[in-house]
Amino acid sequence: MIEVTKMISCRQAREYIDQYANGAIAAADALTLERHIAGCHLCARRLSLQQQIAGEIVRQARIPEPTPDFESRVLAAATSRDNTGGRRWAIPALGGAVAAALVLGLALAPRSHLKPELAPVREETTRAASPVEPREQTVRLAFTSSSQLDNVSLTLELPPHVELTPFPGRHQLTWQVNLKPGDNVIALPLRIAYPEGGEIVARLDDGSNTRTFRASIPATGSDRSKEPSS
Amino acid sequence: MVLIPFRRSRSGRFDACVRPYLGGMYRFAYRLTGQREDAEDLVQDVLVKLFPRADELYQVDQPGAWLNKVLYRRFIDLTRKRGRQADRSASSLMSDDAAVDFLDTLVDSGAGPARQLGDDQLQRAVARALDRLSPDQRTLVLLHDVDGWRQEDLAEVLGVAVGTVKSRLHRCRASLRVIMAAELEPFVPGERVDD
Repeated sequence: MIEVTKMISCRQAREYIDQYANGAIAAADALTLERHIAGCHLCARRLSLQQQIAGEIVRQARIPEPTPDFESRVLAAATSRDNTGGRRWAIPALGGAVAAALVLGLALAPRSHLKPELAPVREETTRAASPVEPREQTVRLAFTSSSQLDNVSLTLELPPHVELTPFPGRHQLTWQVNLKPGDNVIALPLRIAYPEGGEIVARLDDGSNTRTFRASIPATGSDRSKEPSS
Repeated sequence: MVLIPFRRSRSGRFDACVRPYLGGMYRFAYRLTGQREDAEDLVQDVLVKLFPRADELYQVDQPGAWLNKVLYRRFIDLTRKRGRQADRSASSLMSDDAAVDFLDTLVDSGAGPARQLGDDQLQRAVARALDRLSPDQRTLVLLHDVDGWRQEDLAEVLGVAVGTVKSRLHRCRASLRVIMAAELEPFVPGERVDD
């Protein structure tokens, strides 16, 4: 009875079963096989088991995610000898005197998790400076992320009298950064031309969400207990 | 946290061109090496070699396939340097005559062998079967059946004809069936079903 309903033989059907179980069969061949299987319980069971095996192979052959900083690390290794693109910004050492600690909270997605955390400014003057001479301070920005965020655009906007020591004369700079879960601290070596207060604007954009943070640079002699605003 | 200048420097262009394909390169490298660290090292090694001659990359129409081709060649070079037999053809490992379809051992005996086996037994059998495949066979099968590589893509990257990929896949599956048959034999009645 089975033979009557077959359009192809079981031997021919076997040729299609692997492809069918792996989802790699032409539509016409799939139809042919399905018509055969509808009348052949042996081949139907053969296919069923083959599909279970294929599913188990997929499950066991899962590839682990690469380490979180994989992309940035391998690209940095490849391009480390490139001197044409300006300087690579090595994160300044976190040790040493700290002029101010500005702690900002970050969670770009989902938006409901946006909970910036602000900490009081903590100041230690790096180098004694006269009121008319530029002074140098190191400012720490700490971004607290709830998850790994890759390729986030970090833009810093500095007041006219403030510049980053490694990038003289530039008041807006953008980097691509990867944020790890937890705290991500950037130490910014600042050169402040005159003892006037100001505001650093940090903008983080992951392509779909943008968060802007504002942190005060207190004027020399001003009330240093003032907290940064966000 | 790694900070990278946003300026479109030479490194910036390289970054922008390569970064979209790093995930695919890693997965391919993992299939070749079988270890995450080795896969990451292989990708890094390829990029380090490639950066000084990145202009070649910028001329390519399909950077993803091209990068994987470079990666595969690099893998072969490194493996040969280590004295391994890297590019062993699956065709030398298994003849079609030996490819007995273990599913042919099924008989119409009520509950199917998969039900008799249970999930644990199936898992163990598949794990042992994958282990017993040669690295070349396992890589080829997984790239095609699991990762969804087309035969044309495999042929391009491996530097062989599509027909060769097809025949190797056929032999790999036959090899897998033989191994599975041996693994499942205690659980499956040995009666052969003729067409």
